[in-house]
Amino acid sequence: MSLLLTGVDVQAQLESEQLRLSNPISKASVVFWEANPALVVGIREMRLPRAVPAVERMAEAGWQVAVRRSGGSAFPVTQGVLNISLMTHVPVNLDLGYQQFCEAIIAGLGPLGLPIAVGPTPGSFCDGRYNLMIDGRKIAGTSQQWRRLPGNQVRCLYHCGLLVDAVTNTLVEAVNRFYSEAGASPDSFVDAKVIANMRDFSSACTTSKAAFMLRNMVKDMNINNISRDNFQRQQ
Amino acid sequence: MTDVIVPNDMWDDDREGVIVSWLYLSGASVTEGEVLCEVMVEKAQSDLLSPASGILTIVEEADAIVSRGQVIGRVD
Repeated sequence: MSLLLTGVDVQAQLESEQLRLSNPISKASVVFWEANPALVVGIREMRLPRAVPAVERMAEAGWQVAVRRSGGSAFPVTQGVLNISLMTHVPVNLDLGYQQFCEAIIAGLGPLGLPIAVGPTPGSFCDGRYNLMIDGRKIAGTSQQWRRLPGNQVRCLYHCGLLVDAVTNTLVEAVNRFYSEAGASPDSFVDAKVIANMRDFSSACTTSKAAFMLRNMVKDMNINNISRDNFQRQQ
Repeated sequence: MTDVIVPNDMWDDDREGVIVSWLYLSGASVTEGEVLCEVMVEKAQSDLLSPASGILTIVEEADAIVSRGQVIGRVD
């Protein structure tokens, strides 16, 4: 059986994640999925001056627009983008969580021998401090969502969009078109030169192969043995 | 009166976050434990639960820049 869900409807996937995140008895888990073309935007981007008509125009162009609850700005998903949704119940702080998440991905992809680094990629879509990059070009973005439940429980959803063998120019055009239609500021627009696929560096890489390599991510994050107290003691 | 406070447990330094959205307007009746608003820092979004039941007063509106531990609302 394949580890990778394909042809996924993004809106349905995001709603499913929210249900699992709110379930106090759900266990740590990871889901690998590849979606039909969609642009996943942040809640704040839906307050751009012309966001509503922009969503309609994007839909006419074949891009579903879905609003996510994890952090960050517009991120395009299509065939060739491997989405990783990993849920934990351990309330580590956000930086340690990002470090563990990124390190687990890098470790899983280690056999490919790619020089993957972590850091910001100015000019990329959904930029942040914890992108994965090769030669300074972004191959993945990461984000988190913390769901607080009664009884001081915190559940964390980590998300990564890993560009494996997508058409990167199409992704960039979709994001820039949305920003243009929605009336975003000029500094929101994306530079295609700073975006790359894993396949640009490893010709044998596919989304299903990457998902298989990352199948032990829950264990690799060592989430059952790490707590905030442990982290503070290690510092 | 009970303050609605940006959590101290998400990050350790003096970075600033942003209020993504309030799920209620000022003056709304809210219940302890339900989600009042969402705060984002470093692409990590967290919901904030109401610390008490009562009437919500929003001190910092959506899109406001906030620090951890900052009071952003009250429930009376």
